[in-house]
Amino acid sequence: MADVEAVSGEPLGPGTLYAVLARLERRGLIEPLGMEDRRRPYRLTGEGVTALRQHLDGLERIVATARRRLGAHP
Amino acid sequence: MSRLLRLYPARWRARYEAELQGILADRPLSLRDRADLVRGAIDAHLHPDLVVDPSAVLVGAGSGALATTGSLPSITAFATALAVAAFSLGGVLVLQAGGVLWGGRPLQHALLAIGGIALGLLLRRAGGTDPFARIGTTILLLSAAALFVPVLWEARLSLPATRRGWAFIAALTGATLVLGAVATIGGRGRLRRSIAQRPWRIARAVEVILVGGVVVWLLVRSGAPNGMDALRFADSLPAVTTVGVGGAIAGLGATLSGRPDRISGIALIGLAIALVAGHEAGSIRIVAAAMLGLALVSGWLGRRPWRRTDLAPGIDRRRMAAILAGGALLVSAGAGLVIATSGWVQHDGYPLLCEVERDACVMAAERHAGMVRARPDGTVVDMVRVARDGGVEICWTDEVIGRQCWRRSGTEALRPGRP
Repeated sequence: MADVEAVSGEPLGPGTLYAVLARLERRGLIEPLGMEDRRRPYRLTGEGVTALRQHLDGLERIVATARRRLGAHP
Repeated sequence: MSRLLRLYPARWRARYEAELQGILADRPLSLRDRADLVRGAIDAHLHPDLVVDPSAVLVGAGSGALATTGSLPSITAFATALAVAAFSLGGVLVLQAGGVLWGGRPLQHALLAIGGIALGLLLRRAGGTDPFARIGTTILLLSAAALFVPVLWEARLSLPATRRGWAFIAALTGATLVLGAVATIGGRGRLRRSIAQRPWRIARAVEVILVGGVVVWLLVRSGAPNGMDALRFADSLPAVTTVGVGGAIAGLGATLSGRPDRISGIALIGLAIALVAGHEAGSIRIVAAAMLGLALVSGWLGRRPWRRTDLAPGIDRRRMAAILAGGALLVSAGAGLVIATSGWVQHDGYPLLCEVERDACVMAAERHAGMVRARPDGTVVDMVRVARDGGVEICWTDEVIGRQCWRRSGTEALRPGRP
């Protein structure tokens, strides 16, 4: 949660975190690993990597378009 | 903190509570965090499908089998009803075995295996020498024993989860086919003699068809590319719908036969379990509620003195009940086979899945289409169809553009189509 907050600048509550984790796991985008000292790490599945890449590609296109249009309107 | 976590559904807690407690123990819980946990608990209750306990498979099919067990004795031999229950439970245990390798709990499944063996031995004793019951209980015992294999395998195998599941399904399907062939060949002669010697041959033959239908359906589902989803939803179609609805209708038929004494109580218990088991899909609750209603009607009718107020004088009520129940079971199993083998099916042969779990359906369609669309939040894909030839059609309503559909057939690239 601290990591997400540091990167995004937005606080992330435990309820929200696990609501998201459950959805990602349900959709097969992440998978749980074994418990490590009361923590359970997760990792991206192959499908998750693909989905994330495509999502990032889409965001990059949006950002590029937005920057281009912003540049046209100083 | 623990009080807040108790707000979450039991199924959710069983899956996430330990690790969430681990996280919460490392930081002081602010008021915002507490509010967030409450919101998360509400979300978990509103979306019970997010966490699916493989045990739901057993509960769902077990209740269906109970309903069948409760309804069939009135029209057929008790041993035959036990055999049907044993077949149903055996099939479910097979799916449970697969579930172990897709993130199940080995200890829980080991206990299930022990329970399955105990139940199998009990049913075998109750079924006596009836050959059909012996085949059914043999399948149940073998399925329960087979549960130990993945439990042990889970501890040693290092394959990725998906490949583990595939490897196991392949091995299990082969083993099931071999065992089924051996059991069929071994029991064929005795079974034929038994069918010929006993009354209610129609109902008996239909039961064989029913069991075959369930087995085929289970194999179709577990052999699908998205086998993980098949396991997750295995409690719905084959177990509850096919067996349970058929069993409930058969119970109604048994009531009409004038021998309702044994049906209502057991059927009611089974259906109530199905209703409260927390199946993840709303439509399954509707099905379960319909089954419960049928059982209640059946039970209410069963209290009436049919023998004195004979509503169908001159008609052989037992024969009528057998035909009614047989027809219901035949329709139930036949419908499943027809849908499962039809050309255009949703979600690889799971026709109701798009209605049951739209996200899973969409994901499956996207996998088939080789496309994962980065949909903005709020976009709802409201129609997905997947054909056996790989064709796919997806429709959704975009807030800006409006309604869109993308289609492709065979190996064509996905392209826009008309809504």
